[in-house]
Amino acid sequence: MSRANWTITALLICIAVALVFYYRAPATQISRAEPEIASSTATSTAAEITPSANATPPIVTHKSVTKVSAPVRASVSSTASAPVSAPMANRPLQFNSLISSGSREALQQQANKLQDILVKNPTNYAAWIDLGTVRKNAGDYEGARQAWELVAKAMPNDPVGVLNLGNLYGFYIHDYKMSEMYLQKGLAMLPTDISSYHNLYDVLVGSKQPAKAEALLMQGIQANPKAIDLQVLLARFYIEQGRLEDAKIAYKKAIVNAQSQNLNDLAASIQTDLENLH
Amino acid sequence: MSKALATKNVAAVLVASVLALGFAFSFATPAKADATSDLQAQVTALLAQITALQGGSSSTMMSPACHTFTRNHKAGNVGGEVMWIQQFLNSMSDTMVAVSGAGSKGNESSRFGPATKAAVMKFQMKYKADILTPVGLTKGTGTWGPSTRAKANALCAGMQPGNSGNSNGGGTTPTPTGTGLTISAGTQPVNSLAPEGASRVPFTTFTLTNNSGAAVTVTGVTVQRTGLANDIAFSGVVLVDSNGLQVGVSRTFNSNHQAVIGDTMTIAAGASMTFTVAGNIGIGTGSSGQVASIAVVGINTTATVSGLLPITGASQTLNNTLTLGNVTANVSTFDPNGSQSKNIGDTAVKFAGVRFTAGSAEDVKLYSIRFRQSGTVGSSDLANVMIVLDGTSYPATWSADGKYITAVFPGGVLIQKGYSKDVYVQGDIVGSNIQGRTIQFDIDKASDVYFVGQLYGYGVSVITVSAAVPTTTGTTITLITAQPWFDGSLFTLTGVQVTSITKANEVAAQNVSVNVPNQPLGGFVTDLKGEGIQVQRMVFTVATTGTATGLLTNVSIVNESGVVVAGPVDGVGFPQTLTFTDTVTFPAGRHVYTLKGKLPSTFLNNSTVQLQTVNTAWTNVLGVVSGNNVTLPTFTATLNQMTVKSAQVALSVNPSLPVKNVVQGVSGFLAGSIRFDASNSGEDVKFANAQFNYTDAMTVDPTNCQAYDGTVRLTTTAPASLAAGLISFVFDTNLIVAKGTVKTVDIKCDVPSNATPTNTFSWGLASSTFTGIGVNSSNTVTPTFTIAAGPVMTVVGAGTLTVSLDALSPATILATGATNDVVASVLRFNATNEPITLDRVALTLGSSTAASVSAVKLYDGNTLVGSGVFTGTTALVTLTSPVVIPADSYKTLTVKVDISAIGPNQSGVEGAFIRVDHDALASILTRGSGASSGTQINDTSTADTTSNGVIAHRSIPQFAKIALPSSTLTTGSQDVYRFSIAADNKGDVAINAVTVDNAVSGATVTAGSLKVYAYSDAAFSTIAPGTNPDGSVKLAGSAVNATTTVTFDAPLTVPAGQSRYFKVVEVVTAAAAGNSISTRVTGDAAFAAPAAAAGAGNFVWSGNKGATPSTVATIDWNNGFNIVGLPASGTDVSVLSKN
Repeated sequence: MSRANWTITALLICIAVALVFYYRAPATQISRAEPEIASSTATSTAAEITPSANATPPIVTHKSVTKVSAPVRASVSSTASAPVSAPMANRPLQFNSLISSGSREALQQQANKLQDILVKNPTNYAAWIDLGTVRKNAGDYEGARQAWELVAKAMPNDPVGVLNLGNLYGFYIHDYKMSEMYLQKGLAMLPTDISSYHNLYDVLVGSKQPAKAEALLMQGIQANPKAIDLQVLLARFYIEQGRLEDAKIAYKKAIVNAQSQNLNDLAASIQTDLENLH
Repeated sequence: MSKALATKNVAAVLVASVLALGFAFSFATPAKADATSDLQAQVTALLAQITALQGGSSSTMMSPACHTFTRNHKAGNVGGEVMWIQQFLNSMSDTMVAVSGAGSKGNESSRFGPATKAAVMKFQMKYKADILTPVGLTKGTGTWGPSTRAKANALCAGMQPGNSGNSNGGGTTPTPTGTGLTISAGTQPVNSLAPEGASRVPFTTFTLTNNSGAAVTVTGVTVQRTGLANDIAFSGVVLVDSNGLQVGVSRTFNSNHQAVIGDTMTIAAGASMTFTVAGNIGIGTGSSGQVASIAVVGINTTATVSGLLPITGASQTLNNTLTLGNVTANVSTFDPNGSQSKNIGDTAVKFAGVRFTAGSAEDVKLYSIRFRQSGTVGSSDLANVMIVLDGTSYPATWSADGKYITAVFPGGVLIQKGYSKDVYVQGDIVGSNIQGRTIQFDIDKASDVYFVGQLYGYGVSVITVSAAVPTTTGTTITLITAQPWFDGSLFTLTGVQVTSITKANEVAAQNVSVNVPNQPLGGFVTDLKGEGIQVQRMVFTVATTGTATGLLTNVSIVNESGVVVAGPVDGVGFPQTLTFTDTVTFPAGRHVYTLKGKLPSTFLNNSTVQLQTVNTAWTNVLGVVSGNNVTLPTFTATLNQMTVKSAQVALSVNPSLPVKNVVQGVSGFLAGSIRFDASNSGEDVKFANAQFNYTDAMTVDPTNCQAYDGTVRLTTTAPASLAAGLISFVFDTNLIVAKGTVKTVDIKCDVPSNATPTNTFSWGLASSTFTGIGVNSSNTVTPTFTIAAGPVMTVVGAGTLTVSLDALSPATILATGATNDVVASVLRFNATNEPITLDRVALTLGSSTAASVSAVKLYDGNTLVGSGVFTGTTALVTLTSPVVIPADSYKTLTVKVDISAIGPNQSGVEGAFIRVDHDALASILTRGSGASSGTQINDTSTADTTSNGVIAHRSIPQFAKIALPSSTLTTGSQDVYRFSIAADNKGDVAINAVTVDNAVSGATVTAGSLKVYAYSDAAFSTIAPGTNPDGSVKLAGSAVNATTTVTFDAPLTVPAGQSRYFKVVEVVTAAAAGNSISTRVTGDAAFAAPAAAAGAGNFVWSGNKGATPSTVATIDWNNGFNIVGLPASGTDVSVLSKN
C-alpha cells in the first residue's frame, strides 16, 4: 500500500471513530463548542484536538474545533500525556438530575469560561478552584474533587482548596475519613477559622466519633477563647450525650464569655437555654 | 518460578514427603512443604547425612554377632574371645576375615591368624577416629586392644540379632488361628529424621491378635533400643494406639536398653489391636547423626504369644539442626493453684488447668492430653468429668485402672504462634461416704500432652517456663524431669455442710386475706453444701398482733416449683404451732420454701401473723447421700410478717399527667389518667368496668375515648357521646390490680378538627358506684375515690412557627473568595403546640449583593436539607429532606454559603460583608406543616435575624517566618528577624503595618534603630518597589527592645501570585558572651471591621477593594486576624546570641 493510501485510510478511520463517539456522547456532555460547529467548515484530525489543560498542547480555539472534535476531545483527553493526576479541565459537566434547566445553562456557561481560561493557562489554580465550585453546584462531585485535589497538591499551603475538599468529602461525597483529614489540615493552617470547626464537628458527629468531636471543640475553644458559639456547641454536644452537668458548665462559660464582650442579648438567650435544662 | 526457587521447593517437598510418610499413622499430621531460605541448606546437609549414615550402617550390618569383649588379643593367640572377634568382624562386609572357607562367616575359629589380624586392621582403619587417633596412631596395628574393644562394644550396644530393618513390614493383620496372642509387624513408618525435641517419632508398628476364645490381658510391651545410637538420645519411649492415643506413660531405657511401655490392655476374643512404638527425642544429647531403631522384643501377658520377635521398624536419624516449634506451659487461671476443700455434691469443679503457649517457630495443634487422678477417691466418685479446651468441653475417658483420664481433640486444636489456650479438668463430686478423701489431677509427664507442629509435622515437646518451676505441691508446673510434671492442686472432700437456714426475703412481707386458701404466711431458705438433708419433723410457731384469734388451717410448705413438700397441717395450741411430720428432702444448694395456708375470718383487718422456726425444732436430720446424722447449726428463722387486709382499691387522678394544649384534629390524645391503688389490698382485685367524670367547656366534644392499661386497650367500644358527668367504660378484658400494686388507666380521645380553640375538658373522678371483685375470695370490692377533676386540656389551633438566631451563630468570619460551605449563621426554628415539618425557608442577604454568594445551603448537622441562590437580596430555600421541629421545642439549621470568586471578571466583591439572615418579611414566608393539624403553618416572626456575617476577600496574605542566615550576635547592623508575605494569584494585597516584638538581653542596641526592609527576592538583593530608596518600609527607625508597630511610610503592594521578603534590622553597638536578641512578629486575636489604616491592628493589610489601590484613608484595612502563619500570640522567635 502506498504512503498516500495509508494516509487516506488513517484519515477515514479517524473520522469514522470520531463519528461513533459523537453519536454516542451523552446528552449531558454539553459542548461549549457546539454553537460554533455550524460555522466551521474546517476538518481536523485527532492530533489537533486539545488533550489536557495541564499538558502543553497546541492551543485550541473554538474555530479550530471541528464537528467531530468536541466529543472526541473528551475521549482523547483521558489518555493524553498530561500529568498523571491532572483532571481534565474540559471534563463534561455532569448534572445532578435535580438541577433545573435554567441552572444548568448558567452553570454550563460558567464552566465554559473557566475551561477557556484553563486551556490557555492550566496552572491558573484560582480558576481550578472556581471550576470545582461550578462542578459541585452542578452535582458533579467527582469533577469537583478532581479540580480541588489538583489545587490542594499544587498549593498545599493555600487553605481554600483544602477546606473545599474537606467540605466536599464531608457533606456531598460522605467520605468522612477524607473529610476529617482535609478539614484538620485546613485547621492546622487556620486555627482561628470558626466555620471549619462547625463543619468538622458536624462531620465527626455524623460519623459517630463523639470523642473526637469533643476534643475538636476543646481545641477550637482553646484557640479561639472568645468564640461563644463553640462553647454553646460544646454544651449542645453534652446535651446530646446526656451529660447535662457538663452542658450546664459549658453554657455558663458561654454566658460569661458573652457578657465579657457586652453581648448581653446573646448571654440572655443562652441563659434561657441553660434554664430549660433544669 | 526461578530455578533456584524451584530447587528449594523440590527439596523441601522431598523432605516433607519423607516426614509425611514417616507419620503415616493417624496421630501424626503430614509435614508441610514450606520452603524457607535457610531450609535449603539444612535439607541438603541432612540428605547427605542421611545417605552417609544409612550407607554406613545398613550396608554392613548383616548378621551382628555381638558379645561384650573383655580380653585383648593379637596375632598368634588361640582361644579366648578370638572366635567372637571373628564373628564380629564377619558381621560387617568390609571387615570380614574371609569371604569363604576358613574364617569366613559360619567358619570362624579360635585362632588369631594373619587373616584375623588383617580384618582387625580394616576395622581399626574404618573407625580410625575412635580407635587410632585417640592413642596417637594413624594406621591399624591388627591388635585387638582396649580402644578396639571399646569401639566394638559400643557398636554392639546397638546391634541386635534378627534385625531385619524395614523388611518386617508386612502390613497385614494375621488371621486368627490357634490360641493365645499372635504378634505381627504392621506397616512400618518410613525412615526419616528424629529431630531433637520431637515427640512421638514413630519407630515400630505391630499388631496383636487374640486368637483365643476369651479376652486376653496384656500388661505391657517390652521394647529395646537398637541401631547405632545411644539410649540418652531418647527422653522417653511410648506406646501409641491406632487412634493416636498414648497408651500408658512414657518410659526410659534401662541398662539393657529396654523399657516396658503401654498399660494394662484387654484384647477381646478374636480382636486385633495395632500399636506403634514411638520415641520422644531428647534435647542436647549429642546424638545427632546417630541412627536409632526401637524393636519390640516382648509382650507381657500370661497368654501364649506366637510370631517372630523382635520386630523392628524404621531407623530414624537423630538430628539437631531442624528448629521445631515448642510449647511452653504454665498454670492456667482456671487452676485453683492451691489446696482446696470441696463438698460432696459440688458440681462443675475445676480441678486442674494448664495454659499452653505456642512458641515462635511454628503453629501447633493439640491432639490429646492425659491427666492422672492421684487422689484417694475412685473414678466412680466423680461424674461429668470433662476436659475443657479453649472453652469447649471434651469428654474424658477413664483408663481401666480408674487413674487416668484422657481426652482426644479430633483434628487437633490449633494454637497459633505466640498464642495461648487453656486446658482444664472439670467435674462433679458425687461419691458417698468419701469425706476426708482427696482428688488431685496431675500430668505425669510432658509427653502426656501431645502437640504436633504445623510446619514440619513432628510432635513437639512441651517445656516449662523457668519462672514457673515449683517447689511445693499444688502450686505450679514442675520441672520436665520430675514426675508428675504438672502437680495439680489437692482437693480434700467434706460431707454435708449446712451453711444457713434463714428467712426468705423472696417471700416478702405483704398483705393477706382471711378465708382465702394458700395465702402466703412466710418463707425460709435452706443453703446446704455438699449433700442434701432429710428432715423428719419441723415445727413453726405462729405469732400474731391485733385481733387475730383462731387457728391457721391447711398450711403447707411449698418449694420453688410450687410443689407441696410437706403438709397441709393445721395450727395447734396457744401460742399456736404448726408441726410438719412429713419427711422433707432439702437438696444441696440454696432453695426457697414458702408456707401457705388459710387465715380464719377471726383475724381482723390490720392484724398480723408471723411464723418462726429454730434449729431445735428440726429433728431426725440425715445426709441424703451419706446417711449420716447431721447437726444443724444454731438458727432462728423469723419469717416475714404478713398483714391481714381486706380487698381494697383506692382511685385517684394521676398527678403525673400535666395540663396540656391539644391541637385540633389530633387523634389518640392522652386526655386523662386514673390511678387504681391496691397497695393496701389483701388480694388482687379485678374490674369489668369503671366510671370516670368528664368535665367540659366544649362546643364540640372529643370522640372515640378509649381506656388503656399501659399499651393494652381495655375497651373496644367508646362511650357513644360525651356529656358532663360520669361516663362508663366497659372493659372487654378485666382490669386486674394485683395486691400491693398501683395500676394506671389512661383515657385517650380524638379531638375533632372543628373543636373550638380555647375550649377545655378534663377527665377526673366523682362519687361512683362501680365495684370490683376479689380475685381469690370473689368478694365484691367497693373502691374508694379521691374526688377531683383531672388536668384541664385546652384546645388550640394549629401550631406556630417562628425563627430566631441561635447562639451557635459564629461571630464575624473572614473568608477567602471561592471558599465553599462557610458557616454564615445558625437559625433556630421554634414550634409550638405541635410538631411542624418545615417546607421552605426564606433568607435575606444583608450588606452585600447576591453576586458575593454563589450558593446558600441549609444543613441539619451534616445533612444537606436544602440549597438555593440569591436573587437580589432574597433566597427561598425549598427543603429537599424533611426537617421536623418538635412541638414546643426548637430545631437548628446551619446556613452555609459558597463565597463567590473575587477577581477580574469574577462576580465576587473584595471586602464584601455577607450577612445571611432569616427573612421574616419576605413575600413568600418560611413555612411548615403541622403534624397534628395537617395545616400549613407560616412563620410569624416579626423581624429578621441579625447574624454577624462573613467578610470575603479576594486574596488574604500568607505570612511565613524565614530563618536568619546566622544566629550569632555581633556588633553592627544585624538582621534580627526575616519573614515573607505572599499574595495568591487572585489579587494583590497591600501591607501597611507589622508589629515587631523585640527583646534585647544584655547587648547594647542603638535606640530607635529598628527598621524593616522589603525585597522582591528571597535572596534579599532586590529592593521591593514602593519602599524607600534604602529599601526600608519606614525611613525613621523604631524602638528597640519593645513591641513596636512599624507603620509603613506608604502601603507596600504584594502583587498577585508573588511574595515580598522582609528583614528586621537593628544596630548593635556592644555584645558580650551570653547576650541575646529575640524577635518575632505578632498577629491579631479577633476580627475587627475594616477601617482606615491607622491603628487598624498589629498587622494591617488591604485587599484593595476598589478599582485602584486603597489609600490609608480608605475604609479597607484589616487586622491580622486569621492570617496563615501569623498567630495572635506571635510567630516563633528568631534568636541571635553571643557565645
